[in-house]
Amino acid sequence: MKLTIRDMPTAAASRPRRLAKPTIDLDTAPYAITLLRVSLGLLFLAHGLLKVMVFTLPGTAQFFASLGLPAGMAYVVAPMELIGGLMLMAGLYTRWVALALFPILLVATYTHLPNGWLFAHENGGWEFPAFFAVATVVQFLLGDGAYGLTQRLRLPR
Amino acid sequence: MTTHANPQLLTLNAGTHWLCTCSQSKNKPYCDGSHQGTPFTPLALELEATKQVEISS
Ligand code: FES
Repeated sequence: MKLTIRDMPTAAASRPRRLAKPTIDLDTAPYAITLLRVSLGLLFLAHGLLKVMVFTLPGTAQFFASLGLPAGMAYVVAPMELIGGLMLMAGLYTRWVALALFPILLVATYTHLPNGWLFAHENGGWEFPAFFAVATVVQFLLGDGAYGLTQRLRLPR
Repeated sequence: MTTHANPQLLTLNAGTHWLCTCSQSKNKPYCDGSHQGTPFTPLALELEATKQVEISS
């Protein structure tokens, strides 16, 4: 008689994987994700602060109007950038914050279209906001990475 | 040795399971005491968690 004892197939194991093998180094990747997350967070925070402190919200609204955008958007975009930037830096619901910030950068890319593609062109070409937009999508796909707060909020099971 | 299709796949919970080794059991693959009078004794299978167990002869 021969006995073969196997672990119960777990939900994780039976879930179809998109790729059979991990294509990233799982030891270092979480820190790379954190680096991207904190960099993006700082950028958003800086842009949010710039709109609130330097341009002021009415100033930003005027600037938006001058670009042909709805002026009221300033009152939505600036707080989103501030709060979103802080949440990214903290690693709090990174995926959803990154996804929420993505449309802002699409609009930014669009408004920079007339300036040419090179970021060093007058008023800035579209390549920088476009790359920034791609980075938020990448962050959405990556999640929190290391040192994120979301995980600490989860109740221990 | 067994009247069951071979191999047999079981899902067993944590705990001790007595498996028949004498082939006299009416409740294979488990021991039902029919080994009385044979030199065989049942096999104790102790599981600490639920496992899938495949039995083949
Ligand atoms: S009945 Fe077969 S070992 Fe007990």
